[in-house]
Amino acid sequence: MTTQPTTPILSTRELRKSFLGVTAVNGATFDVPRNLITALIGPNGAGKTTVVSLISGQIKADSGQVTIDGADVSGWPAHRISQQGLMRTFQLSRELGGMTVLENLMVSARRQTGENLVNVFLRPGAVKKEEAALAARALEILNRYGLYHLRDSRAQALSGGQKKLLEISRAVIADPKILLLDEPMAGVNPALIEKIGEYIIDLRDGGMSILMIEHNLGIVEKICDNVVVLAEGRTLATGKMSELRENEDVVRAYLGEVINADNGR
Amino acid sequence: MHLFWIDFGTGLATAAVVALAATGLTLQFGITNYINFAYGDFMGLGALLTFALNNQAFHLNFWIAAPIAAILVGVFAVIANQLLLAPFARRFSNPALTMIVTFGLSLFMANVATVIWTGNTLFFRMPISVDKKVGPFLWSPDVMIVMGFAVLVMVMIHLLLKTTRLGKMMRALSDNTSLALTSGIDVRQITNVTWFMSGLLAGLGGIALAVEEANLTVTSAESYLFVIFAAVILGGIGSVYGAMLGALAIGLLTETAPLYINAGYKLDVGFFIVIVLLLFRPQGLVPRLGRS
Amino acid sequence: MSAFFLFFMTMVFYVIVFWIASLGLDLVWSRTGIPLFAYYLYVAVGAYLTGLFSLPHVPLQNGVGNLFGFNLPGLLALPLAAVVTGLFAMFVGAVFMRRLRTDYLAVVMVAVALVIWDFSQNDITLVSGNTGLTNIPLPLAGVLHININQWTYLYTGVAFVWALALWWIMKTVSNSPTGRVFRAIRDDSVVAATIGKNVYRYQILSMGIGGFYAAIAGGFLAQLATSWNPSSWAPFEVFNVFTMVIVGGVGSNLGMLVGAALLQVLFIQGPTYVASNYLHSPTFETLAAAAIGVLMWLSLWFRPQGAVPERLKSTAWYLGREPALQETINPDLTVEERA
Ligand SMILES: Nc1ncnc2c1ncn2[C@@H]1O[C@H](COP(=O)(O)OP(=O)(O)OP(=O)(O)O)[C@@H](O)[C@H]1O
Ligand SMILES: [Mg+2]
Repeated sequence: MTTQPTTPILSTRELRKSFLGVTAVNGATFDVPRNLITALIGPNGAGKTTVVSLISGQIKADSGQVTIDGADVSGWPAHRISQQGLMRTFQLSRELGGMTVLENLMVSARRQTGENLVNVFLRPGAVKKEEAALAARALEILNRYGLYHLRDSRAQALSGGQKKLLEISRAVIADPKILLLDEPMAGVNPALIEKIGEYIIDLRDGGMSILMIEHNLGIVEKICDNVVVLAEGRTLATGKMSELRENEDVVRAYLGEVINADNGR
Repeated sequence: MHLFWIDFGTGLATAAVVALAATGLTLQFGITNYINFAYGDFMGLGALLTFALNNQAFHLNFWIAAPIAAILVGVFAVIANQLLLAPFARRFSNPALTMIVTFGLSLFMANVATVIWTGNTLFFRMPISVDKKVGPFLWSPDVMIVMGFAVLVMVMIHLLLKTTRLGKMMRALSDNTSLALTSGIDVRQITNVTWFMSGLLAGLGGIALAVEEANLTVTSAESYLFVIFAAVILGGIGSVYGAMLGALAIGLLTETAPLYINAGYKLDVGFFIVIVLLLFRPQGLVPRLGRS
Repeated sequence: MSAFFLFFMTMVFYVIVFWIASLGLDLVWSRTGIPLFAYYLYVAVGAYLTGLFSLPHVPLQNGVGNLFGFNLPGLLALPLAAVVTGLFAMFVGAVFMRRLRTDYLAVVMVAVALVIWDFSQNDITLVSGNTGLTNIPLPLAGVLHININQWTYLYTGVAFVWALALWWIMKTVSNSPTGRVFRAIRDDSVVAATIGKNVYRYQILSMGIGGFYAAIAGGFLAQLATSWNPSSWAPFEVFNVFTMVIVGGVGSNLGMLVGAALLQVLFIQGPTYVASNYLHSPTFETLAAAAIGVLMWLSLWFRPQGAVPERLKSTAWYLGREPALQETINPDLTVEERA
């Protein structure tokens, strides 16, 4: 993989967030390059999930800046950030439980004519045609991720591993420019981990940029092109996994030692 | 100015009623994540049972009937929680559903009470108590007893929560249910005690309201529900001392309001406070609701 | 016989009207997830506006009068009132959904309904306080020269046509991609925002449609009674509509008809008729009202999906045919994750 010297697809600058006095994110600053898989690693409680939520707009940052594909989206509501071409998954899967698996995908697609009631009543033919095409596309994606046989089940009936796949497919159908994955392989069996890894690589090869939170450094080494290390809410280091193995701060953070504030970076 | 002080005095009396009920409601909020719309009916039940013991069966003296009735409401609250509310709250994670269940309980209690006690205005069998001038205020001896009693109850609750083991466990459960679960507290027992206390206080509040208004109907307490809510929210949901202070503010506000606005809107002062507070200060004043 | 028949038709009328009312609440609550405890407020607003639009302006005199009156034909006043109520509902939604989480919203909605109810009792300038609106004209009765009995039969038919149209509209909305967004918001509003849906906008839209349905129901009630005042309704009557939705089957358009019929026939109109014609005492009626609470608990506990459960849409439904794709199940994926 050769990296193009273009602007990053996503960058954060000095993101900060505290919850009732507990500082979760404390100046996180990093770039996510285009068309690569970037890992976001760090010990438990480092603020990784919070950073993802700040980027995708589920949580409002106290301060700091987020740029997606050159556009400053700081402070935007979640749905507008999403429309900008960003999709995310959740650490604890959040399926739309009362809807079918197929509908979970269909609802996620962009720019649907029938999402405007005027069109529903005035252009029923166009809406119907679009629905059939969308369903076909959703089935294709479900098939790709091995969920095809579950298409008509309620999403809440799925197992943990299947829900992880559902989240990925739901993001994929929206064809995002950047995909944020929060521990997509946590709690799934080794065979599936392998599969999910391949899926993610396929997405990158298809042109998507990916930021994934992952604890397993073996996996990170294997599939990620780039790594961002977060500790105590700030960026500790960025680079290739092989370089980071040499970095004492990173090693210490993973050994669970308290990092001295002066040691940061 | 003279009229103002009379209304101010009435406000203090109303504050006593609201304080009793609001303390009970806030104790309940501490351990539930939904809102109990039947709480006003718990209050009404206290007054109606007092009426039953006082006028219909046993013909007990009012001051003996009242505490018995309040204890019965406490028992009723425990049963209502065990048989109805707790099972629904456990099964459905959506608090709106449990709120609808309490809505149903309210409707059920109000209609059954109407069957038993009719829709007529009822009066306790007790000597007529004439208003007396006390400083700038105008209070009847009964109302003064109610006020004194309310203060006594508040002090007792303070002592219970601050000095006894039971009170500490109640506070622990209310502050953090999951933590309490792991720290060896008998959650079931403390939950029952809390519901009992809450029912008892509701009953006392309802009785006090009937004494203050010198009569009662099956629905008179129901209309105070949101006034009680207002006191609880004003003080910060789950905070007992907040509820007491909130009650004082609400009592004075509702009773002096008719000097400035149409008396028909007296209780709306409470509703208004609920709306405005929840709209503009929900996080600061209501930190506990919506906990899962 | 004829008295019974009139009662029967009136009951059918109520069933139809509450079918409409529960369709609206079902959309807002079961399909969008908003606990709209103020729903009955919109029923009342629709009733008042239908009255005002079809009555002439009566200047305030001796505490009776209405601020305005358009003297419109009743058939026109009804939808007009519903549109205005829908806009009002959207406004209320816009104000309160902006800031409130759903559990606070539930309380605030009740408080708002209570304040407006009190206002309707105390304010005589707008709709005559406790006197309310009287002599609301029976639509068509004057034109066709028919008596009240004939009118009841005729207007039950009119209400039925309305109900069928509203049922079709609701079906179309809930089957559409818009309805799917509503359901996504109900299931998890955070996810709905994450996949790019403007949750706030859709919630307001849902409340507006709900307000429209509530107002049609309210308008019909006012026209049937030829009057509307603060004792014609109470904010807590919303519980009956919630019960219809739960008993009928949340998310099911036909279930709403079942729920409305069950409650009106067995728990509301039926007992009222029996109580006043045979028992000559209101006790039975009151007990029936209490029983609605019990019905709701039992229904929610033993059959939470309701009499007619919500139907999921299959792949074939979306494609318009059976899917042709040959599935390629990866054997690895049928193995479940570690415990
Ligand atoms: N909503 C919240 N309210 C209060 N504190 C929070 C909230 N969300 C996160 N925190 C706190 O912020 C810190 C960072 O949490 P975060 O979930 O972002 O960590 P993480 O790196 O994703 O951890 P993990 O590897 O366990 O997923 C933690 O101390 C956590 O307790
Ligand atoms: Mg995390």
